[in-house]
Amino acid sequence: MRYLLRRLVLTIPVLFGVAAVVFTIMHVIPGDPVQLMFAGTGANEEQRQAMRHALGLDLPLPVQYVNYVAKAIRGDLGQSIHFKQPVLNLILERMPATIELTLASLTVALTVSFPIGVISALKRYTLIDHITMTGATLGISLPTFWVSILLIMLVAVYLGWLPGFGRITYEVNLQRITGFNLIDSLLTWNILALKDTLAHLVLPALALGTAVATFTTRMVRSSMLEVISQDYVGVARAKGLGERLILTRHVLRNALIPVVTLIGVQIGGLLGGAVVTETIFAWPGIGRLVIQAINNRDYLLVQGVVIAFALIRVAINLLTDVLYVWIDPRIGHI
Amino acid sequence: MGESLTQPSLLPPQQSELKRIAKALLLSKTASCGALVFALFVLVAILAPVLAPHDPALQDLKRRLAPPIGLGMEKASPEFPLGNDNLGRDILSRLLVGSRVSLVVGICTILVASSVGSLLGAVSGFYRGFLDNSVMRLVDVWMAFPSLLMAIAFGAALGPGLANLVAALSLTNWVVYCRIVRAEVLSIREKTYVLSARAIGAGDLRIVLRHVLPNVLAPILVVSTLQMGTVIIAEASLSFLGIGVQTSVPTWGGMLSDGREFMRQAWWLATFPGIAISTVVLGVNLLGDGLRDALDPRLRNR
Repeated sequence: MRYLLRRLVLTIPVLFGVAAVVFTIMHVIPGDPVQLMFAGTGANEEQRQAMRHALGLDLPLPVQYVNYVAKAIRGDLGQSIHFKQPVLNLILERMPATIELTLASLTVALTVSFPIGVISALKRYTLIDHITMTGATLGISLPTFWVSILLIMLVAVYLGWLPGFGRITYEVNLQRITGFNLIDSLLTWNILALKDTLAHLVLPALALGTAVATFTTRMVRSSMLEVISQDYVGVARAKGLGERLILTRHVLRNALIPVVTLIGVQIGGLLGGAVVTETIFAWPGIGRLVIQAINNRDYLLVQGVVIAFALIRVAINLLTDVLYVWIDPRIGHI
Repeated sequence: MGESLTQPSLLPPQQSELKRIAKALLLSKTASCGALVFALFVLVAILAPVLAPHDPALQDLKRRLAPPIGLGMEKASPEFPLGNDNLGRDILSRLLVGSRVSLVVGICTILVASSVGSLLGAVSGFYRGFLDNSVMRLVDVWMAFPSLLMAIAFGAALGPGLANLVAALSLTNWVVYCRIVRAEVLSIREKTYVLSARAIGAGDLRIVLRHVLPNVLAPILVVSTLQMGTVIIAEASLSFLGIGVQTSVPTWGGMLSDGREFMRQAWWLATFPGIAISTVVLGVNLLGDGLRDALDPRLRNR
C-alpha cells in the first residue's frame, strides 16, 4: 500500500513534464490559432490582438504554461477552437469509444495468444511450434494500419459481411448512459444496438488485436518454457502430481508475471496504435480526435488529448504493479 | 617488467567486438536470411532510378486504376506489371522509388537516435548523481507518451520534409537507447577493467570511449535492428496520415493512403505498398532476432 502511494506521488511530476513537452510542441507548430479562429470572418488585426490578449496568448510562454497547468488541475483544459466546446467534455465524450475498442482488442489478443503460446511451449520444437513462431514473427512485421485496410477491403467492401466504418449504424438509436455502447445496449436491453455495436467492433478489434497477439504469444511461450525448467516443477512432478495440476497450479501462475508486464506495455502501444486505426475505421474515439485536432491546429484540444493519453498510460502502469502483487504476493513484501 | 605488458602473445587472443558480431551474423540462419532481405532492399533503394521502368511521377489518365498483370483482367499491360494508381502512375516504379524514403528515414533515424540516446545513457550511467536523475526523469516523461502519437505531434510541429521526419522520429526513439545503455553502463563501471584503466591514469573520456562503449555495442546493435522495423512502420504511418515528406515524393505510406481512398475500385493500390513495408520490416526483425539470440542470450525473448 505504501509502495503504491509512493508510486502515485512519483507520477505527478511526470504528468507536469508531459504537459510541458506538449505545451512546447504545440507552440512550435506553425500556424496561428487566432488566425484560424477568425478565418473568413473579416476580423481586423485589432480584434485579433484583443482575442490573443483575452486568451492570454500574448504572455510569455512559461507564464502561459503555469496558467494552463493551474487551470488544468481544476479540470479546466480550455475551449476547443474547432468544436467550440470545452476540451474536457470532448475527451470524456470520446473516451468510452477508445476504451471499448482497446478492451475488445485485448480480449481478441489474449484469447488467441494464451492457448497458442501454451501449446507451443508444451510442444516445443514440433511442427506446431515452428508454425506459430513463424506466424508470430510475420505478424510483428505487419503494420497495423495496413492490416486495417486489408480487413476493410476484404471483409467489409468485397465480402460485405461486416461494417468497416464507424461505431454504430446511424439509424440505430441507442440511449447514451455510460457511453460504452455494449453496456448501454445491455442496460436498455436493445438487442439491435448490441448486435450492431458488436459487428462494428469486430474488424478494428481484430486489426489492433493481431499486433498485440503476436507479442503476447511469444512472451507466453518463452515464459512457460522458463518456468517448466524450474526445480519446483520437477519436484511437483516427482511428488506424482498430475500434469494438468502442475500446469495450472505451478506453471501458469508463475509464467503469468512477465506476461502481465508485457500486456501493460502493450496497452500503451494499443493506445498509440489506436490513433491510426481509429482514423482508418472512422472510430469516434480520442485517437481520431487528436488527429482531427492536429489537422485543425486546435492546440488546446491536442494538449488535452495528449495529456489524457499520458494519464491513461501512467494509470495502466500503476495497475500493472497492483496486478503483480496480486499474482505474486512475494513482491508485496519487498 | 614492462615487457609482459607490451607482449600481446602472453595475453589470451583478443577478438574485436565487430568481428564477434560479424561471426554471429554469419552463423545464425535467421540473421543472415534477414540481412539478405534488408541488403536487397538497400540495393533496390540505391538503384531505384535505374530499376524503375517509368517516371514515378508520370501521369497517364487513360491508364487510371489499371490492374496488375497475371489475373486476366482487362487493361492489364506487361509494361505496367503491378498496374497503375488513381492518377495512372506506374505502381512498380513508385514502389521502387518509395523504398528510398523508408530506408533513408529508417537508417538515419536509427543513427541519430542511437548516438544521442547512447551517449546520454552512457554519461548518465557513468556519472550518476544529479545528471543521471534529471535524465531519468526526462525518460519517465517520454515513456508516458504513446510513441506513435509523440512522433505525430513532433512531425506536425516540425513540418514536412525528410530531415524533419528524421528529427521527429529520433526525438521519439532516443529513450530506448538511453535506458538500455544506462543500465549496461551502471554495471560496467564497477568492472575491474574500468578500475584498472583508472588506476593507470586514464581519463573519463578515454574510459567511456575505449572501455565502456565498446562493451555496450552488442545490445545497441540488437536494439537498433529491432527498432529499425518500428521506425519504418512509424514513417509509413506518418506519411499515411500526410505528416511526412512532401506529398510529391512517392512513399509507401502515401501510396497506402491513396489506395485506401480507392479500395472499392482497385485493391492493388493498397496491397503492394503494404507487402513492401511488411517484407522489409520482416527482414530487419529476423536480423534483429538472430543477432539477439547469437550475441546476447540475456535479451532473448524480450
